[in-house]
Amino acid sequence: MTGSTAAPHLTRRPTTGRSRRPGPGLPTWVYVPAVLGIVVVVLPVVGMAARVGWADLPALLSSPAALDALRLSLLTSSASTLACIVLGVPLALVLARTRFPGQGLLRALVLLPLVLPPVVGGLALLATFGRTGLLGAHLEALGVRIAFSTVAVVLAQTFVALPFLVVGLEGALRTAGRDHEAVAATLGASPTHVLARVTLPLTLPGLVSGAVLAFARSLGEFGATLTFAGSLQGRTRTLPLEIYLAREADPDAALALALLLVVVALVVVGAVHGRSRS
Amino acid sequence: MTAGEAGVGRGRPSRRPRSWRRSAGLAALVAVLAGCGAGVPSAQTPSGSAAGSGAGASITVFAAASLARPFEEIGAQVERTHPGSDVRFQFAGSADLVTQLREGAPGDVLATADEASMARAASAGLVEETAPFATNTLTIVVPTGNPAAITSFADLAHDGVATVVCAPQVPCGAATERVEALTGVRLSPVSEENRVDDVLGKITSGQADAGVVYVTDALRAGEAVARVDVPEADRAVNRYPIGVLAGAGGADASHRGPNRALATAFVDAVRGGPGRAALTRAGFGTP
Amino acid sequence: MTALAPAMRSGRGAGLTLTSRLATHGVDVTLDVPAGAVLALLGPNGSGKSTTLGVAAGLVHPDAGRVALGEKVLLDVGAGIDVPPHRRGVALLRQDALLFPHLSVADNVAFAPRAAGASRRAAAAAAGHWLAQVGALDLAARRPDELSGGQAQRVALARALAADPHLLLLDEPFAALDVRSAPELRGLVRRVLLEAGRTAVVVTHDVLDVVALADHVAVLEAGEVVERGPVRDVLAAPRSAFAAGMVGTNLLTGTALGRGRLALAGGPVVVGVGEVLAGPAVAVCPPRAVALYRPPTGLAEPPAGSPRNVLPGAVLDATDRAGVIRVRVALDDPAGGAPGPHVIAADVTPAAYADLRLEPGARVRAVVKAQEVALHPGGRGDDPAAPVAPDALTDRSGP
Repeated sequence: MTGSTAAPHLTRRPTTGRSRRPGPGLPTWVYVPAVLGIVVVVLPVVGMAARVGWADLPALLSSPAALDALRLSLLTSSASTLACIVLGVPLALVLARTRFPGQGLLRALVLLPLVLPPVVGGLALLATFGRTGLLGAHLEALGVRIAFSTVAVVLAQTFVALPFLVVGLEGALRTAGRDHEAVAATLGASPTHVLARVTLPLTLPGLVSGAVLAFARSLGEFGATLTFAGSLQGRTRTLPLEIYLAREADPDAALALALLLVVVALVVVGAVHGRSRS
Repeated sequence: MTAGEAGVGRGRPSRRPRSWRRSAGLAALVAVLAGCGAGVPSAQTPSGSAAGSGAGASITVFAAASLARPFEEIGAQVERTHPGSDVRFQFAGSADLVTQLREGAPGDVLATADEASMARAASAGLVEETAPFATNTLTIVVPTGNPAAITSFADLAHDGVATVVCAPQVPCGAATERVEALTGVRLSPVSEENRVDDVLGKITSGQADAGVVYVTDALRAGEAVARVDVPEADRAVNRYPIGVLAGAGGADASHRGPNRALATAFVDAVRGGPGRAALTRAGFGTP
Repeated sequence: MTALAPAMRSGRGAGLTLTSRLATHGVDVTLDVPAGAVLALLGPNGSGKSTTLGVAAGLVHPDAGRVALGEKVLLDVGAGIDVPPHRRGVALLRQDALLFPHLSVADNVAFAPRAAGASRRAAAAAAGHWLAQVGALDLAARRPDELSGGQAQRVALARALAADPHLLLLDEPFAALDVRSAPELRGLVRRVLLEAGRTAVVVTHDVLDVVALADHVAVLEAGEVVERGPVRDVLAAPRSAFAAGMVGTNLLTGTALGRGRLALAGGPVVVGVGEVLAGPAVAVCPPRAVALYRPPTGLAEPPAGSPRNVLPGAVLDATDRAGVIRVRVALDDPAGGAPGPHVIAADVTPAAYADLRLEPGARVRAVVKAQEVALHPGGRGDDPAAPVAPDALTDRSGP
């Protein structure tokens, strides 16, 4: 009895490409608000692109201030995404895979930055890590100053972006369930081995999409950064802050930088999402 | 504090103009764009909103945020001398005001914190005749107790002194650069803010050792900060111009006359005796 | 529980003793599986079968209890011992194969050796060995989503075996398979368990699994063991409602002769359908498919025509079962002419019962079409003569 004798039962799924979803279609009217939704999101971007002075674009985008802001944004967003992964993966595991008193409260607290206005997040960080803050005062005594540093930018971005990663991964963990983990354990795999070889690979799409969202959120972070980290070219003035400042004197430059931010965000989100789907 | 509307309509909440909001998107891609910051003023047309008869003229004054307190006083005076009239305000950074007006925001009077912003408004055809009505000078503010023992502008350049200034792109930052040129002191600030209020905030919260702001802002902050005056700043005064907007009076022809008259009356009041007194109390100088 | 003499059994299996009490599940179970033996765990849904397997595997933590595998104590709630699942040497094969979807078939099977610290090469070699053992070597490069249900379960079996477990837990391992894959896989599991002499517990609802795989049976109802014993005893005289319901069919054990023929030890040759070439096998037919006739001088003659079994014997007893009379017949031993160890049950109408005068001791011929008799590999090789029939008298169940 070999596998080939069972071949008639084989239902091989296509491994490349996506076939059309079976099942009944959507009601036609659904497409109307759906298209409106696209318009709401896309039209302002189109409007902005239409306003950009394309002839001056290269000069506007190659100014030292613009390049510094872009470099700083990519650097800090990458760093904060990394921090979100390092802190958020264990956090999501604890939330999804354990049970303890007060877990609901902890989950609500983790999600708090999602509902807080960023400026409130900035004030909270200031009250904690600022020079006179809860921890900041002690750090200051040790000669460590976070305020007005690039670290402060990363901290602010991590604060606002962490929930995106935790929520995304926790959902993936719950969807994946525990059955494969249980099987792996009975096959002799230690908890760490199960985590590395089963849990994380199975939830990788959730982790990747959570990380992409965290990166995107970090890239767009503005309020908490401005409040907590200040604004100085090359150190704390990220692309959004540079755009905000450029509006004061040179609205055309602001538009050009805004376009740059949109393009960077689309490239990052598109590239990572596209790859994770294939 | 990021949007610079602190102090708007203080003491007269019923007259407070629509403050603007910076929405913080939660959805990721929206969040990316959220960094683009400021919103736009309400589309409601204040100048045309006076109800019914031509008796109730109504104007909206676009004014630099630092003018909030004296202008609220002057507005109240004008309303008393013009019964039934309504004077509303839109306070924001000067550059923002010009941008909003260029994008079609309905306004009747514009008062900016620097002449460069007014020049941009003029070149866009937004204003016709303008005149300076006040001056402002820079001062150093330090947290209460002056932890870094700042006594002069030159002290700000010392190692280890965390100084926060306005970015050169905004009027108070441009003025700071002029003081730097006059004194020959080159600052290395830890942050260059868009708004005077953001500079003040970092001093009141103790994050920075010193900030450079307008005298009027230091007065407004009251006990929360201490002032260290800069003698050289007298040679780098900022002049505040005011003018009636070209589109003043609104699109509604039946109200245009009374509204324009009220706009002119407001400008006159600012430049006249009662306005002078209010501006002086707030720390402004005479041009 | 007394073990079958495991003369043919020698392997790495260690005996399992398990007691577990879970208040939340209402489970209070004691099990005992001798080294190398296979216990079938029966019972209705929700009776605590899977929970009990979970306790053995270390995936469920009872309020009180003790689990030991040979000398090694895996769990002793009182003593604070709780060996984690990955150090128990207890592998679990469930209804759904649960292959790791991100790994190839070969990597799935290599998972346990890798987890145990084997080199990549050694693990791959082990995977190849076990895939060959289950006849799935040709699937090695596939992804799990490219497998049929039967293939996936075959690979899952290889993966479990590659862990070299001291105890194998099978939780309804064939329940999700189609009618063609299930017998194939049952035969495979049977071979694997017999060859290596593994200790195993199999949870099932299918009497065929019991016959094919198990030495012992324990029946759970509402969280408690209500019946236990050697397979032949329980199936021959089920005391629990569940076992009785399950054993509503004739099971005749013997040795396969090939071509659909089965020689009952101390009994006649039975013909049926099903490809069992050799070795211990079981013939299965429902009582309603069995007709009874008096000897040639009687009222009715068995009709000629399609292939059939004509099995002479003597009526043992009869019971009224809601409108039909179940008559049990002790089949003659062709060698001796006297009643042999095999018993077959037939359902007849009350009218026929009266007409045929089927009182105990009456001579009859039990006739059943070959089409109605299904042949399966089954019955433990060390016990070829175990008679298994519904409601058989225990005093006739053995020599």
